[in-house]
Amino acid sequence: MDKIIIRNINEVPPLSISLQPTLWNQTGSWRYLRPIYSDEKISPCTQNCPINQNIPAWLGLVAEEKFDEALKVLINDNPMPGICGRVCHHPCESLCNRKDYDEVVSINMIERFLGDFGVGSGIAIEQQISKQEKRVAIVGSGPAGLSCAYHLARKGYEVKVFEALSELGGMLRVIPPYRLPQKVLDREISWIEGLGVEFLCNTKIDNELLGRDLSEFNAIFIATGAATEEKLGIPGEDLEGVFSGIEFLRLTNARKKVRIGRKVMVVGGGNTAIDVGRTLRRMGYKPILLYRRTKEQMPAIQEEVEEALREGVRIEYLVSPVRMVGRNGKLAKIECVRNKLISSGGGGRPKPIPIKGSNFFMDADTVILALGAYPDAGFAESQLKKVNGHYITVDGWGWTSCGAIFAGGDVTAGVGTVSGAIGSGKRAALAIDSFLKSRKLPESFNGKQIVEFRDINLDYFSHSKRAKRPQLSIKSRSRPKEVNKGVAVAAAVRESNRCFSCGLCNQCNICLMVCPDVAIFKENESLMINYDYCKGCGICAVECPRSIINLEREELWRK
Amino acid sequence: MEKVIVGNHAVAYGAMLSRVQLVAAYPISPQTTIIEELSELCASGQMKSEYIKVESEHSAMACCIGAASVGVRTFTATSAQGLALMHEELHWAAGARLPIVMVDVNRAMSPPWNMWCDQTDSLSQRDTGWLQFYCESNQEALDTIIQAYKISEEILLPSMVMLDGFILSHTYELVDIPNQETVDRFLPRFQAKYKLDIEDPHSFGGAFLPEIYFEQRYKMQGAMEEGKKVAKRVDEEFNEVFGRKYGIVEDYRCEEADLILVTSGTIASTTREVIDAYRSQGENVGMLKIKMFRPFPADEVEKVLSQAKKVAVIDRNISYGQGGIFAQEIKSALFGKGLDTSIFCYVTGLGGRDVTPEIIQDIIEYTKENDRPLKEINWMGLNK
Repeated sequence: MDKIIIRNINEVPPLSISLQPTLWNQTGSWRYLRPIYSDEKISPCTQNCPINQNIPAWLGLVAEEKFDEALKVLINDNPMPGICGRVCHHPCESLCNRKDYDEVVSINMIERFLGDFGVGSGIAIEQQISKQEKRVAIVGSGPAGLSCAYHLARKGYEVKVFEALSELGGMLRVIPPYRLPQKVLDREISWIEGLGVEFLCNTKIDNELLGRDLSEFNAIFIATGAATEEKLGIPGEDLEGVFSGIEFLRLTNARKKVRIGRKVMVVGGGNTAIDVGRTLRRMGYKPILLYRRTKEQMPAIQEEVEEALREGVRIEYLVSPVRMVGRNGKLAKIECVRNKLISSGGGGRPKPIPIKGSNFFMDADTVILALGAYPDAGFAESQLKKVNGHYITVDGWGWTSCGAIFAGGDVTAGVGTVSGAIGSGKRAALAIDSFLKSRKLPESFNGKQIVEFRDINLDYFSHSKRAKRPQLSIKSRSRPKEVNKGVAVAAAVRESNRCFSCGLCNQCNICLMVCPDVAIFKENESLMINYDYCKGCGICAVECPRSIINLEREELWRK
Repeated sequence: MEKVIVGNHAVAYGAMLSRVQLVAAYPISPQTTIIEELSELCASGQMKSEYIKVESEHSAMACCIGAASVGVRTFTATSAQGLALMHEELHWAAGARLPIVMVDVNRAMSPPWNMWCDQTDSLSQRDTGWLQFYCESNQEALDTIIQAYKISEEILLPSMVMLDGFILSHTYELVDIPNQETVDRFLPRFQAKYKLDIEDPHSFGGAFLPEIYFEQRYKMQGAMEEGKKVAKRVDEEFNEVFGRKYGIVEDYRCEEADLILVTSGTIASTTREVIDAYRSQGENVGMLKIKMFRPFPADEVEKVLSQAKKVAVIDRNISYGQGGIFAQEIKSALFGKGLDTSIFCYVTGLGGRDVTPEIIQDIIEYTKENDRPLKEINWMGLNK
């Protein structure tokens, strides 16, 4: 660069203006804080999703109307968006940062939108090209087993799924069609079949077989679920007219006739109890649901409880049956007590305690019990460690610490949901893959920093109402008709645009626009910082609407 | 078109007719109705200008500096504390040679809280490199804004146009609002010689080391001195187009005057009445109205005041530890010219205290009674 020589006063500019380019002045040398695009941030929805789906990523693609790409991102983690978009309890929405601003993003509704879009698009699922030599056996074709099969098959493993019943899907088959149409379930199972997974129905793997027949496999994933139903343990429970909730739903879903009386009671507060109640209403009955605690404490998905009430299911709270009274071997009356709640001290749910002398009778010729279920205690009890004698003990990855045996889904403790099962299947597949390749397990999500509401720069967002899920009117509802309707494309796109994209860069380019040194640029769709000129003012970090940029001490980098 | 309007609206029309392209302003009494009127003119589309509502006067001047740096004609208005808040940027605008025009509605500095007429606010900024014009009427305010753009854009220094708070800003007077075509003939579009331009990129505002800063400042003073000539010429051109003339100073009935009062702003307007009364009594008193205060018209001042034995300077302002500011500048202009003039310095009207014809009469009488001023500062109308 030639030095500028000013020979006389006439050559002095009247104002301070550069007379040649100033790029020689690399102001990056002034920096003591360095902005970094962090990849250690995670959105609360992703963190809380039992499958850890990269939710901001696929919401962002739907917002740009790139539905193919969005679906690809989604099924990278979850092969069952059509199912989850209908039955998941959506813990993502409970922690969505938008709840502190106006209303949470309807993530579940858009997941279903992508699942249904997948049908029409004929999307192909990517598979690893190289086939692995190893074979994996999966016991159980519920959501956990299906998910594990899917992820292993994509990694090139030969997978064989053993199912004791005649139909695939496990507990997913128990969900009534007005929530989950059978064809959606069949469709998403067929995707997994399309990857070359082999399914064997009517094949129960018992304790013996677990040792012998499965020895040809390099690893086993147990996903046998929890199908042994809880009992009340009260007199008269064996009278004619007392049914199992899960059995009732299986039969009605299969369109088999169920002989029940007109005075029907349902006992329980979970999703099964609500499903039974709503199915009974569709059959023309007027069921009364008895729950021992209050409405807010019901473990069922709250939206399901609301719909049940709107449809005319009567719910009696703080009521427990204590005796079933029969006549000629058939159920005629049910004796109940009213409960009061006392705190359980340790911060758990309040306990229901019967109020002495509050006993009362109700006429009932049918009682359907939906009290929850637990896994078969006898299964593999000699080989594997158990929790409470029922659940198989596993670590966070699903490893039983017994050879190459892994487990997930309801057969392990603390799962109990569809998405929980799918997540456990995915984690087990990753663990099995590492185990078979004698590699270290991949990093978990726990190390990442959750982006909180206070980290969001609200200057860049205006208030907007959450999209309402279209529904059938109460009058139009019947057993086979889906209550929740699919959302229109425009509404899905609009709703996706409400996502803050916490911790995930969506190329809004605000950092690039506000940098006073013009030191941020784009290369191959990625935002980059030119550290020769970045003075570390931090404006990009403060302005980033989604808190992606961290400011770190420069001296640590210079070393 | 003739209309009876308040001073603040005359200012708004002046800015509109000057085809201002950006207004960035923050409200403060007694200026607020200027920017309110401008906002309505912009909203209705009558005025084709960007309007930025800023959160402070500092931001207002920052916006004007930014916009002027891109070659845009800018305007803002303020008073007292608002002007003071802009102080560092006033130095900036001048040093950056940006032809911003700003109206300052003269208002007292606080505390104590006082919204009324006082010139200390604008005069406190006399060292910043801005041209300063003091107006006597609503018509003059409107006309001076148009002239100021022409002067500033030629010499590349910003201008401040003053009107008396409440006395002009909120008072109705008959104003001849020129039509746009006539103003366009007089004031061409702003063609910035130096500006931020992606076709010809430069960096502005960088360091000038001691080796050349001194020379850049020398050039600024040169521009100010040039400004005196340009202002006189522009005033004449204005007269040719609009038929109104003000001059950078005005001598009123100074022929054979024994005593000349030096005034500015609306005090000049009141003083005319008093002068006429004295003259009708056969007394030879006159008035020198100072319109342009920066650059200071020393030659014109000397020319007029050298005629009289006594000069009474009326200051509606004060520089603490010295005295009235016009008085200091007058003394400086007359020093070393071999004159025997007695200069009487009067401070009055601070904080909106009414400057009545009676007070001006007292000033004249006091000056007549004494050969030499008895005190450095005479506080007229002080309630003891």
